[in-house]
Amino acid sequence: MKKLRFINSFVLSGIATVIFIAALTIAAELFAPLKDWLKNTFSHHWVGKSILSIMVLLIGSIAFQYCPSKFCRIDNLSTFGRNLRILSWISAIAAIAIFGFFVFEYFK
Amino acid sequence: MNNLFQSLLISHIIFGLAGTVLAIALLIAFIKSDTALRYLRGISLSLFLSFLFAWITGGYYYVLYYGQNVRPLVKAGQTPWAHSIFMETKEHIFLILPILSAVMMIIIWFLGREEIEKIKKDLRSAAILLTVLSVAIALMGATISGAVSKSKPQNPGQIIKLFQTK
Repeated sequence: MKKLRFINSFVLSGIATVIFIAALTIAAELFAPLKDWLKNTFSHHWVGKSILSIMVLLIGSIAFQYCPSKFCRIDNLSTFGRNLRILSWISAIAAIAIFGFFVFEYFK
Repeated sequence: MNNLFQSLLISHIIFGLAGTVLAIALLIAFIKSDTALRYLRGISLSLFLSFLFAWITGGYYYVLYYGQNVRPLVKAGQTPWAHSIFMETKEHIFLILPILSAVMMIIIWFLGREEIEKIKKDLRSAAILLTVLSVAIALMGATISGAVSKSKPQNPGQIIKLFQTK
């Protein structure tokens, strides 16, 4: 069960990271100060997004291991499978959202 | 383009394509009924490393060369949408690939054979997504390369004009 909790924390952290990537991408395009902050802090906005994504994944995977909430609890393999499905769906939605956003911005 | 950036670009393409092939191999492994755990673990590790190296090499090329030298050409050329839509999408969707492949690798390496069999359908779905995203990103990369070829100025006067309009 400890092993499952450890792996599940990565899956949950993966979900959080993918949402973070999509949100940061769109927010940085819409709010120039955010993009400027990324550029000034990390020398390039894309480098900043990369580094922050890694940080969210790693910190999230530690945090979710000790999260007391019912959402973080893993009772069996089917719960784990459900979380993996959620990760897949969230990744697909994030990719479509990012693509859709840049298409919209181009034709705006 | 000097040798360093040429090498970085070529490495990025090779690692990216290798990652795409490995994603397809992982998907096929999850479709087949009896795949060896050692094979799954080898594929998942190689997949993660491919995307990791594609990330690093592509990142160097993008940050140090593409922005200043290639983007103005594409944006001023016949197909500006190649950068504004496809390159922008590619550079951000790509961030999802190493994350997803790292999670898959951890799952496959830490779970036993029986546990993997029980959640095989969910692993297959994740592998399908990884494959679709990899192929889409590869196609976007090809589109951008085509746009760069089309954007190459015909004479020195055009080159100066392109950089002045940046």
